[in-house]
Amino acid sequence: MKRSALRISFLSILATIMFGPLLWLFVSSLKTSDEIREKPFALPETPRFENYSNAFEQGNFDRYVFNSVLVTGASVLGLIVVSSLAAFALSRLEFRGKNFLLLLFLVGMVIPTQTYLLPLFHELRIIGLFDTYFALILPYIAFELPFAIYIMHAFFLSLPKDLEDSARIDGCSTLGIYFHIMLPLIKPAIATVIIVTSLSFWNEFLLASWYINDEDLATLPRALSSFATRRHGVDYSLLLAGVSILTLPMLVLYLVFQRHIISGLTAGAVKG
Amino acid sequence: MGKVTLESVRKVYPSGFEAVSRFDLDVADSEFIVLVGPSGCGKSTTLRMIAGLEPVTEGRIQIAGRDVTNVHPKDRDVAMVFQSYALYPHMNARANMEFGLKIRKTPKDEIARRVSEAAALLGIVDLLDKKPATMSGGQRQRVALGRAIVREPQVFLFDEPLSNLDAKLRSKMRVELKRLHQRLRATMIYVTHDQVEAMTLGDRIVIMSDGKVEQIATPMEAYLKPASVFVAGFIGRNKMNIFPGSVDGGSVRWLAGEIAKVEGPDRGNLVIGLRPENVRLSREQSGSGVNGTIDVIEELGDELVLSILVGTELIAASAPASSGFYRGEEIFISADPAHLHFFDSGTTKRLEL
Repeated sequence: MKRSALRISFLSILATIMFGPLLWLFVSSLKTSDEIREKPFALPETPRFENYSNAFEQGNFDRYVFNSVLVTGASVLGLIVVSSLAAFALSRLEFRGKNFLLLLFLVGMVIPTQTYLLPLFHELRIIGLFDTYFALILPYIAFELPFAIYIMHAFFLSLPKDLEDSARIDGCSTLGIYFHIMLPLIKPAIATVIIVTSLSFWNEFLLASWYINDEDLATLPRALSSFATRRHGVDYSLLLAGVSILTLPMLVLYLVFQRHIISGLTAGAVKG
Repeated sequence: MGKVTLESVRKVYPSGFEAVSRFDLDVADSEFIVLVGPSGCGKSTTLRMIAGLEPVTEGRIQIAGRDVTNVHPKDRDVAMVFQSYALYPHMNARANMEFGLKIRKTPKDEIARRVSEAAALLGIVDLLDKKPATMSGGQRQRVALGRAIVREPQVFLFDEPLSNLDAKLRSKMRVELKRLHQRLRATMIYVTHDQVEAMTLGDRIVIMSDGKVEQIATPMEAYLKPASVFVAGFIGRNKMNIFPGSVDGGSVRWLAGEIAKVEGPDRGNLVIGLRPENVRLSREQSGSGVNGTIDVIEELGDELVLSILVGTELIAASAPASSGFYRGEEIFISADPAHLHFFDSGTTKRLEL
């Protein structure tokens, strides 16, 4: 009895720490800039939903949202295709240098972004991809490849070999096994990769500010930062509405996908 | 239909381990062949080579008169049932059964016909919309069988399909498999480590040990005339008593004394086997026989299994439940010479006196 009370109060404190800022963000995004400055913790006198429409109309947010969705979506899609094929090959096929290759991929996880920021900048200029969507999409895919391969490789390994043999006898080619049997079975791994990486792509700022000059190609985080650093005063109500627009999709995505992460899809594949 | 021929098939792994050495076998059309042996004897490897899942190091494999040694599994026209069932977990039973046919672009109505026929045959119509995770072991086994049947292959391959079932279900499925074979009249090659399954299912059985074929024979032949000490010890519900002995001057000496008399030339030292069910027990000595003491009695209801201490060796013998033997009783053991099995002590191969 006493212990559970202690637990509940501990969890309540944690929840307040986690949700407080979020709540503050959404409440404040409905206030005027003056209200935010003068009474930062008060409720809005009248909720100003027009902050959001203003963000889209005056702040050009429709463009930034589109860019962010495009870059994040294309990066996640490309990442899933490349990493699942690579992980499939590294886990289920036999070839020379397989372990070395896997190791090479995993080493990528420990290299910090800052080390290749500048070299990649020059590289992108040389091959003419600087200031295009690809300047973000390709590096994003490459950066998350080690993580995605790591997760999927482990998952592929956990699938019984008999399934593959059975599919082979049923008439599948190696690629057929990948599409018909393996890909549907690693859905939980794919869901995990989608959640984690889309969050990081969606919020990514460093590369987005280095490799994109054209305002029309800017993603949300970059656009918000230029909002916040405007010389002629910051429009807080617009900024916070923008931050809310940035935050909401990822919250929804997480809530939708989280139960898929843990679903035991392989249950019943083999005995017991 | 499905004749299968293996010609000096050999399997050596990259590590140098020889899993199967020079395997020769002719499987007749619609024959039920069982490969049996202890784990690691190469029986599963042989089956996987027939399926095409394992490359053949040397030798040739033919299915239905066609050399398939280097043919992809999907083009061999075989279906396989795995010990783990290997049902696709993301598909329901119907999709599992349809999968192989869809991949082969079988017409839709043909697929539907075959699946419903197989489902009716196996009594799994109610399971068709269920996923493997919600089925019991026996149900999964049936679906796995159904998946093989709808393919209507030249040859069915079974890799220990009953090992994961409990004893009761196993004997039930054994009967069903036998019935299935009688109905389909298809060629079946079946791998098991269980000699009871081998004896009851096989038209012929192939007994293997250490990658070598010890004997290819009908179950009765293997029981009555085991080709080697290994087969003698492996086949039979109760393990055969096998001890060194000698045949000199018409006298078969085994354990502590003369167990029987035979006619024929002297053989000197050899290995002699006698099945528990063939041990002749008597309370008084008459003619040949050795003397022992009953050490343990196992009551199985219809019969007793006695462990009899003869000198320092334990001999197993079975006796009717009504025989009234008791622990500690002194007893004489002898044998009908026709029931004695003689093996060369060097090669361990069978000798006929």
